[in-house]
Amino acid sequence: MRIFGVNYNWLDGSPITVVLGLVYGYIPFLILPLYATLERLDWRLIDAARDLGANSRQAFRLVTVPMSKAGLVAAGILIALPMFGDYYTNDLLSRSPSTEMIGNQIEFFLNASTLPQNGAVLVIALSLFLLLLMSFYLRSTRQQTRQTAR
Amino acid sequence: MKRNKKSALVYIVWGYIIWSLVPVIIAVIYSFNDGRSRTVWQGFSLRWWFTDPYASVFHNPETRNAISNSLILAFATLLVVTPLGITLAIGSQRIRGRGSHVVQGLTSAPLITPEIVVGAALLITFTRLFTAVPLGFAAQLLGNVTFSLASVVVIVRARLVSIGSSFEEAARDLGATRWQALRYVLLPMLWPSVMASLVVVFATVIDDFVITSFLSSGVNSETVPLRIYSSVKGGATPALNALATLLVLASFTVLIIGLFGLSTWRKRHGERGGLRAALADVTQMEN
Repeated sequence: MRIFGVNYNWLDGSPITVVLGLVYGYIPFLILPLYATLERLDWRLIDAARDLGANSRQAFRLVTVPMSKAGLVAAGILIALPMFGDYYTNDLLSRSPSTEMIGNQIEFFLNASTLPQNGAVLVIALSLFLLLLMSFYLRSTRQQTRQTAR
Repeated sequence: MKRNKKSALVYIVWGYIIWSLVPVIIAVIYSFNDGRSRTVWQGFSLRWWFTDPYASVFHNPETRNAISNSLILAFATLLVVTPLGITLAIGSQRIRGRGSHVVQGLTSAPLITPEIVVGAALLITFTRLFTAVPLGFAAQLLGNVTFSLASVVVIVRARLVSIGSSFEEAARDLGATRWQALRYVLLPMLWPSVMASLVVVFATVIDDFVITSFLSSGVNSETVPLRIYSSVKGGATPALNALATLLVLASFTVLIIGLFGLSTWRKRHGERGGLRAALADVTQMEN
């Protein structure tokens, strides 16, 4: 429903609006896996860091962040994947050619032009790029499950 | 020092919650606007919901068409994808050895594939290769089944892993055939994961935009999200807000029903009950 919130005069193709719209739409998908990672953390280690004299900021920087790095990366990839295919956020909030993303071009070539081949090529290029991210994601989650299983 | 920091984090969380809810609430409020505007408040009325004989949500033929298309598509997808997903989960769980990683990766790959890739691929498939499948309902059904199958498989497989094989082995030892062990022991124990996947699939399909849009054949296969998308740019009335409200309500109702069903099932079967465990079933979070 992000359509209605930003119904002001900045709907004239400003990139800030598109970025805000994307953030609004995808942040829950970042929070959920990140929350799961944080919940699985061994909080005794953080208590130990505090006991050994770290203040809360140091404990966060030196213990919490390194321990949840894998989850952070996985969550980032998890929202990057669908975001690369997003074209509707852009379309609804801006419609300006200056803010177009690859998804808009795919949609244009496949649905509104006589050159669906171009769209197909873009899809393949995008998938190859995302395949890299995906394998990285699968590897990091597998490592994570192996760690928790241990 | 510590107190201050904590309260700053709390403010950020509340700020986020408010920021994420306000647009939806504004949209809902303006569906009760008396005028044609979706930005200027002109008093309360129900004209965009019931009273207007042509333009209101429940009278306008186009929005009614979109609502029924959405519901039909969602329930048809549920009917196909649930048995298929359970079978696939059980089957892929039993593959041992080297192949198991490949199968598990392949069955969960659609979960992290962007919708536009699936949508574009299916569009090309149905328009060039399998031309027997017409664009419209049939193609949309197949597309949504393809896309949401992975979530059913992942949810059911997580449950299978937590059940383990001992119950089935006990049943076999006590003289049950393979089929009986499956039917009377394993399937009943899978029930919470089935309920969770029903909720997830319904919520996905009912507000799916990309795949449904790529595979639609025009007005006669227009669903609610497509209708919202196509009319939000033109001279939309608060009836559009009412339609969007219905969409939110539909997902929300199904989620609530599913969560309560899950938590009562868990309580009755002596498993860890409560809404929290049910929510973990749906979101696949461990807690």
